[in-house]
Amino acid sequence: MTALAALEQLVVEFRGGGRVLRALDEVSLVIAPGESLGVVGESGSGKSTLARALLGLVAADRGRVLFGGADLATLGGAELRRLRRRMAIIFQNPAASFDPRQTIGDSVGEPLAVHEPALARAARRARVAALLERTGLDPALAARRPHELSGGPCQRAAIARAMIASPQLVVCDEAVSALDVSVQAQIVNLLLELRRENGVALLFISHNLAVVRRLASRVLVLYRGRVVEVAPREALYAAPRHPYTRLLLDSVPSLVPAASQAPRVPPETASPFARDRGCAFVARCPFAIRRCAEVAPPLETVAPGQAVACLRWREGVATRCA
Amino acid sequence: MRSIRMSSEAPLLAIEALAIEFAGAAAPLRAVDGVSLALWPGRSLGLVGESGAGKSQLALAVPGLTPRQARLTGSIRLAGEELVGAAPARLRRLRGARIGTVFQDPSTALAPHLTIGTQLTEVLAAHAQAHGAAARRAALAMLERVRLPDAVTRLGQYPHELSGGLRQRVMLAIALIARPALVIADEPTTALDVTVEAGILELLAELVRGEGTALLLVSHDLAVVAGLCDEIAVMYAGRIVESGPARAVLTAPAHPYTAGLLAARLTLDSPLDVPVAAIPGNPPGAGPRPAGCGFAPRCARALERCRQEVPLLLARDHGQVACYAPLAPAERP
Repeated sequence: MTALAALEQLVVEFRGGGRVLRALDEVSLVIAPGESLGVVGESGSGKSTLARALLGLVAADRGRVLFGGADLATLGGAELRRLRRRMAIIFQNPAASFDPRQTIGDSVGEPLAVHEPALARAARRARVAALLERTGLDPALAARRPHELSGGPCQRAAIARAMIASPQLVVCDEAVSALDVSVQAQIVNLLLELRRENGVALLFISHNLAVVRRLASRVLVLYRGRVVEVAPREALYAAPRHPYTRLLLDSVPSLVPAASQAPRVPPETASPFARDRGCAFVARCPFAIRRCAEVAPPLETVAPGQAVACLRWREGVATRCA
Repeated sequence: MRSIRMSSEAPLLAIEALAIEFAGAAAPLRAVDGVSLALWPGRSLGLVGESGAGKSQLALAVPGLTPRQARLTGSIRLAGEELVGAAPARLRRLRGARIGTVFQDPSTALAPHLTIGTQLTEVLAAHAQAHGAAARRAALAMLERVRLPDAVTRLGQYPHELSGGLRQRVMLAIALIARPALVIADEPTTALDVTVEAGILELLAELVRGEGTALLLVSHDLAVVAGLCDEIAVMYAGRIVESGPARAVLTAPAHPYTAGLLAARLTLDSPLDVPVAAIPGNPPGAGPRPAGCGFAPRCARALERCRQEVPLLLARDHGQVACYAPLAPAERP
């Protein structure tokens, strides 16, 4: 199957005050049409930069971003705009992602106005109303403004806007993280339904491993701009290979306190500007040996569809300590 | 068991019929609507709820930080002393010395222009507990207790030089340095990474247990309070709808909202082949609250009576529940 989108050895750096922050460090990934790929990582892992790079919103310092086989860096403005129709993004804070002066209906219909300018106003309105209804909203909300909607309905409207031009890829950047638990469940269900109905590919970015598990069939783990593990859902959650993946899983708060005894791992103290020679996780890793500080571990394929960047993966250190 | 010990001792914190009302466009909004609770020395109470529950307004009211435009009625007593209507100067003296507070965002709760050391020693000086070299020694010891790496260096650093997790450790140190009897922590780990959260919660538990401090922990996450609190109170639309020993509330919830909240949580072993058990509708916004039970509009079990009368919080099994149609033990998850 040909890839819908791909990152190839992507490096993205931010510069300021004479310093260079490498947000993404040789990140490669492939998204197949209709696939649901999860990206997990904590603050500073580069997950939001990854989302923006995929949509062509930040430039690559090295490597390539491909969509439908085309290299985004080589495309002209008109071509890029045409391509953008095939992708959409949903952000964490729905209220801030809408123009406060526009009605919900105008905001949701905006992608159509851009990508299908020939469409008559009435036809556009009808498409907006149909999609609002599909996302569980009263079509009459089209006349409202974003501040009149609470978190859940506002995120439903953001999903309607993302879906309206029938994209092939929707990037969800912490799209349910700010929602109340009871509402979060509704939005997760809606995303699952829409994916089943439209066959749209999802790149689901979150710090919440339980939410990612529900939505993604394959998961990529980022730590300080590097891919440390990528695996099919079943393998990643049942038998993680990287100590950082293990730490993330053990840190998920549980209702049964006895089961949530996460190993004590030192907090992050290194500056994000520091470039390590070795593994980026070495300072916090309970299994680190001297070589880990000296050699950057390559991302090695360890099983079909599963790759891990850890010098000690063969010893099963992360899998065993469960 | 718990009742014998508790009834023989006076509670440290006793809140009775507390209401906090804000002027609204049409009608006043009751953010907190008749809440009563008690907290004993050395015990911890988790206050859980979603947006609009009123849990943060409740947490702000205890140390006297309710916004000035709000109307506060009822009673908040700390070791017998009435705090509702107390003089601002008295409340200022209580904050830090008797009541320590930790809020969600350590980057805004810390003063950006003062060193970590100054912010710690100021608390001691303000409450005349220690000055000069003695205060500095106490500050260093406190930073070591919250396991801040390189504590000596940190004394001279500014908040922006620390990561979010380390800043929250500093906040804990500031909240606890004057050995308050009560610590109020409002979403203390919500802004932190998941791998940092576990460490902060563990630390909080250790610090309050070691000192016999009472803890009021406010969170939207049942799992956060589950690991830390003896008792849980679940709030919805300004009222406590269920309370009791943590284990009982989590394993045998009687209120449909508590049960719904537990079922809606995604976990690492949630089934993948069925939709997530969501609660329909949305938490109440700033608009007028419904008559009767606040949860009735979203409740599958609601009776006609639920929409007309507010159910009282009544004793049931091990705890208390405010519901006309509570779950029977056999129905519980």
